[in-house]
Amino acid sequence: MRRSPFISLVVASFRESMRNKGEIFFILFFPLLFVFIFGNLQRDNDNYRKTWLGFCQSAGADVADVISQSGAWELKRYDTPAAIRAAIQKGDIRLGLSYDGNRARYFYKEGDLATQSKLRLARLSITAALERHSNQVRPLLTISRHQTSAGKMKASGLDYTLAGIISIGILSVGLMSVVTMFGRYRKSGVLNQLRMAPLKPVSFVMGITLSRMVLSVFSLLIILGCSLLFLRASFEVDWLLLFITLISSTLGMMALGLLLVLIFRNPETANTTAAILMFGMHFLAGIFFPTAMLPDYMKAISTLLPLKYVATLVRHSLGIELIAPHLFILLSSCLALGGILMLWLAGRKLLGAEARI
Amino acid sequence: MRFWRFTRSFFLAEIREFEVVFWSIVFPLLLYVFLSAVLGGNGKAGGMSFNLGVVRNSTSAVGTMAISKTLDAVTGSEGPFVATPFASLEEALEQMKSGKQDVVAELGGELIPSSQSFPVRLHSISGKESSQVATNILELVFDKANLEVARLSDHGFKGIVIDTQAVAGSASSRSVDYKDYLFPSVALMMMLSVALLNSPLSLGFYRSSGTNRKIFTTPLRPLEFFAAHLVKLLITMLISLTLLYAMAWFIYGVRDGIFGLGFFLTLLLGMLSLISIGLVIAAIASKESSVMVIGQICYQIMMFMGGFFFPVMDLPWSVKWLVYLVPTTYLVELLRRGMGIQTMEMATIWLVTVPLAWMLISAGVFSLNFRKVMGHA
Repeated sequence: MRRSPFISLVVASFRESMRNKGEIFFILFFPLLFVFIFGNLQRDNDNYRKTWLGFCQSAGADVADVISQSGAWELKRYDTPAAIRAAIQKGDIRLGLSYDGNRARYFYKEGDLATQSKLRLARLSITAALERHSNQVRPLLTISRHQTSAGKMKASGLDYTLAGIISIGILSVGLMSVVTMFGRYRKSGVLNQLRMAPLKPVSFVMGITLSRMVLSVFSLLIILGCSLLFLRASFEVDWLLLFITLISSTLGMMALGLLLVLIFRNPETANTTAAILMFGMHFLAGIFFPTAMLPDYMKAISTLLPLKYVATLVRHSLGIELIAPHLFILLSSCLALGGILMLWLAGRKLLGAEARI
Repeated sequence: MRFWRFTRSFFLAEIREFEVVFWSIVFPLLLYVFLSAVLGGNGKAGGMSFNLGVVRNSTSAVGTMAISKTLDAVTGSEGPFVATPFASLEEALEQMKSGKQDVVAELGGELIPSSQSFPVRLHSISGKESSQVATNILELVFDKANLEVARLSDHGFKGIVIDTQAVAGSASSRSVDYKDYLFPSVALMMMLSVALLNSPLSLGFYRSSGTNRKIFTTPLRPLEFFAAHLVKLLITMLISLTLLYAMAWFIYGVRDGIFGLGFFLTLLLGMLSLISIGLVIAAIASKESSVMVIGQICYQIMMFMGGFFFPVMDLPWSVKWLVYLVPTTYLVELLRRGMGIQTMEMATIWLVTVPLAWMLISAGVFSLNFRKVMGHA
């Protein structure tokens, strides 16, 4: 029995993608590279370790416990300030403190950015602790910290990072694969041939869309699997919501890719613009840096980026940060409708009667 | 003469490609601008802005005054917080969970009997970086407020004198700015892009399109073709670096050591070792798609594991072995030491030896496959 043209197109498009090493790398394995790098980095950040602090005291009551209890420091005792300097010079420690009851002298390894930020913290927290202790200050305000969850479980920094990388995977599939595929078709003249074939534009775009969805699912499962098995992410996955997120977000990102294909007739220009957009979104959408750290003009730009909203939907689906149901529906619908509209338009423009040959 | 004419045409053909100009020159400069804007504040709160939800519980006049003064200091025009008052904690926490607030401060209330102090409860979202950073800042601020109150109310308050001393510094003895820290990284990024992507893609394209075969029917020899390719790469790198130097000097005020002989020699070592690695990619990958994949993997790993943007020496051993393997770790450290910055405890001899070893081994591998790469087999 002959397969329908639609099914044939889906299968052909899928096989073509699987044979294209570059496309498979960027869709499936590029996000994995980020999981490997940033997942391990974030896991290290979450496993908090105290900083070594060289310490010597020449006068007054022993304050070692006061310093240790200020939270962030693991003390290493030295007999004299010169010994601390020698240890820093040798590389045994990067930060030291000499205290004589009245003066706190901090020694630090010069030229090290990480040590500079620790030095600032030390000057603030240790000096405050020493002043409190030496003056027997009874604090007027007692500060306590309370952590709460924005989702179904108490997420870690690693969970947030991995959710961001899943969003990048969806972006990669939707945006880059559409741009490279259509670019390839345009350059090789396949689009012209397809126009002449008895193929409805809607069948063509649906076929392409379905093959991208399948790749999107593969990408998501690979990243999710690696995150859960190797990095011990603590997601509480709502599979239905995740499926809706995947479909709507992939459609939304495909919309962006198709917009570029329609604007830029030169495939290389469309490709480069897509890559620029992708990198811009990586940095500005709150995936690797919180948007609070961005200057105001960059914060304004970040509100326009679709990846920011994809990341919101993904975090909701993984139980990390819940949003109101109506907001989930609104964001998913906007992304999906945008995608469907662009697919229809792309079908008409690229394959329809008004398409230029 | 024909060599230089050929090199010139080769270079012009390459530089006319928008992708080459963008990824080799424009993108690293944009990244420099972006990262300096975001992370170049040197730990100052300027530029950062957090949303603070404030819930005030009724408390005594003394408590109210202390809390109000502290809040005014951090929410004014210079402060990093934008405060929103809430009537109830539940409402504030809901707003925090929905992302509208980064941290919620519940201030005042009944006196704590054991310490005779007023409670300040800071609520944050677990795992969310902006929430944790905001809470850390607020905790330090309120801690400092306690001391200020004690200083003002106790005439015999004994303050601690603070001073700092740098150890093993350079003659310039200055603190490190993130823009200085980033300068060698961006320089190496430019070289990586040209060496690991442009170079092997270009060689692969000329081979697969048959252009090489046609060229070798002319009096031009493969070695001349290859030499022209190398010169083209070096010129592209030099143009990128010149623009980077101009931006760093005139806009960011990066100064120390970047015009030193040692710094230039390290840049040259970087160019040669990275170009060699790119040639190996051209040797082992037969198709352009394979070149792109291998080149991108090497590019990303060398960039992130090389300590370009953040310190990498405290990473777990599951990834730390990559830090020691990639030549960019040593190159970026060598460049930084030329600027008076040190991030690794490693003798300088190793910083030179490892990239040199990469260069020699890669050159050896490429020379064995020279004819295959040139399509002259």
